[in-house]
Amino acid sequence: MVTIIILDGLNYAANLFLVSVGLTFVYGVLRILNISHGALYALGAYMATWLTLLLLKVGLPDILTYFTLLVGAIIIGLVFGPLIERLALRRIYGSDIHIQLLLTYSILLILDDLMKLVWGTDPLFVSEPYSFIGMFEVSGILYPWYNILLMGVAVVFGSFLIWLVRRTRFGKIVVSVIYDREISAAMGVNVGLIFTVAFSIGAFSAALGGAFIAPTIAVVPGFAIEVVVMAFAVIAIGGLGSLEGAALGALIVGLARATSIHLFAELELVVIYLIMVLVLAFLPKGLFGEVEERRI
Amino acid sequence: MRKMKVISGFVIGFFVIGLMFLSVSTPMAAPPKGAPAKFKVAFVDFFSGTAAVFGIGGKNTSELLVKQWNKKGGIRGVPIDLVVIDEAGGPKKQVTEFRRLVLEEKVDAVVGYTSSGNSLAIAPVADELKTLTVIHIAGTHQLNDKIGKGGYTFRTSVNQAADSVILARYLMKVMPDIKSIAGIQPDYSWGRDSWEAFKVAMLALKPSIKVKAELWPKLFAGEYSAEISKLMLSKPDVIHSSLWGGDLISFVKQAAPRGLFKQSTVLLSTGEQVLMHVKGIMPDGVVALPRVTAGYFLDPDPEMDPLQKEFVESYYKAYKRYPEYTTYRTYQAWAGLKAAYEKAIDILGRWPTTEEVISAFEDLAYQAPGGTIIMRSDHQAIHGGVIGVTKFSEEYGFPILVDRVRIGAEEITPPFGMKTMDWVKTIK
Repeated sequence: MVTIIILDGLNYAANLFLVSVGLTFVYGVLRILNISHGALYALGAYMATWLTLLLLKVGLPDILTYFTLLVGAIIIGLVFGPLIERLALRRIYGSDIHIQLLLTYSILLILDDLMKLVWGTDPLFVSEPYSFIGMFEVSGILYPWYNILLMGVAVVFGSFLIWLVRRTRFGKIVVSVIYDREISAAMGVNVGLIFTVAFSIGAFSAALGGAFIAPTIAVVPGFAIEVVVMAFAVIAIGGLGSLEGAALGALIVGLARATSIHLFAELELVVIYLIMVLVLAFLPKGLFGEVEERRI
Repeated sequence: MRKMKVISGFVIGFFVIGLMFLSVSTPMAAPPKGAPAKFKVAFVDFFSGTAAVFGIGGKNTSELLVKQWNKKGGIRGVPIDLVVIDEAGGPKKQVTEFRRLVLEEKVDAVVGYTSSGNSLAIAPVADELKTLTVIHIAGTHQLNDKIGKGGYTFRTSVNQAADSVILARYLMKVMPDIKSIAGIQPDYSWGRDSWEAFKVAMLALKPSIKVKAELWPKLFAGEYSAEISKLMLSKPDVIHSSLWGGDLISFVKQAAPRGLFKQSTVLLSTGEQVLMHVKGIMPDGVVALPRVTAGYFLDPDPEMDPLQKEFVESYYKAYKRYPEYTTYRTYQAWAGLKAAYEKAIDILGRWPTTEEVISAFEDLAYQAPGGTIIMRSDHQAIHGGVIGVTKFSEEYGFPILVDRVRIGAEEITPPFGMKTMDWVKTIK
């Protein structure tokens, strides 16, 4: 029973981390609370599922479906990241947060309709990546290996982002641009390009979450909205903009939810928001909110 | 002899051509006295957001029926003018939209409302604006309190408790030795009400039943691994679920490979609606129903029932898919509205007032593709339902319901005047 609770908790934590990592990354790097994150997450799921289904039809071996999920997320990051940043976000850096929320919410609505226009309202789903690696037995019940794979993707991708921001030249330039745009420009940094690249990585992160969660669910219009509400709860617990915070927030929420499902199922939904309330009551900026001045 | 044949051939030919002329030149029956130039009806359902899975079938059915009926003269010679409105946005927006439809668009009647919350908000406004309103899908039994004492709103399908009671009745017929149950429901009024009615009905029918797990994932959660683990560990004989649409598909995708459907008998109250989409992922042997709806595209057998045949074939021809429960329930609503007007016209010999149509609608029995629908004087329709077990069909390319059983209205509907949950507690 305890093993199952831990496994279920870690699995949900991986899901939550993949949903929220792009949101916290964009806030951490660009200081934009990106409501359109939900649409980018959904676009990742749609594109990855559609691409995988298309290639399966022409005879793609099942093992390569993991690759097509990744490609789907990259396409969304490459297309929509620069598009949204150049056309919309660029005009509002430094603006009041209300403007940011209104603008990114409008983008969410536009992208939501775009998805309906392209993929219709019927559910779209692919099962091969989920079923290909099969099941293992634990405490007398079957458990999918894909859930373990999701945990792996969450750990690897989270570590990659931390490495990118902390250990690379690109990361250092991003930090300098966030800290002082004008001085960075005076030092020869192409500030516009850095913003575009940084937001595109954020868009890719959102899409990657959607792409890898897609094989476990049915992708339908509006499916991401509720999931993203949960992502906001996670990053509020962890501290806005902190990758480590998102990871810890996801872990706490994941384990608490799994425990409540197994022991006090009535509290499944309450427990998540209860944790958020408790954390914010004592640490208004979240668990990692004040550890560093710059959070990534 | 040959000459005789030629002559008789000519005579028959002329006769046939004459008949054709006659039928072409005969005008459609003149509209009744006082009839409007057109009869304007709004259809309201979800076309955006996650609930769009309900609205598209309803919209398709409305457009198809209006087109077909207008070709045959509409309602006694008066063509129907259809206005389609999105139900998204919540009850406040829908009340405003309803007022606009009546006051500005001057609609004569409104058909629709899938959301129970919206239906509860609309019924009093329909009375205030004296506009005939036919609720097609919304299932809450609370609506009966609002429409039961007359007024302008009718509901043309049974209420939500029937969806649960029919499953309990079915279980006692096919698995009388059942010892334990569990439930996984979306955590909002639909899921809560569905489970309450099912649990109460099961305990009424077999008090020794043990409830092993009651799980409440958030609506649109999508991720059910922990709930599935819990269900697998608690090993109930039967699992009841009112998950719907994308949530239901996600649940089946995650649960089927883990063997949940082999371990327990699973009952899905809206299972029929996803069958055309899930193709191979729905295991065989799952008990599914199109909620309690009189029709299923294979039941009654289209070859034996001309109305069902015409509907299934024309729907498939128009939309390349078979009708499912939302389409049948939409049909039931439109057919009721049309039958009520026609009855009133036939009695009065002129176009009726809305109040006269309401009188005609009460205690009206009318035909829909699934069979006869009876509208009681408390404005609540009663009809039976079909229930079956999933089996993948090579012919259709998706799972269909086999071993179907029909359960009659009297077994799943409270008697006239009795409150729904009071009745569920006492069923035998």
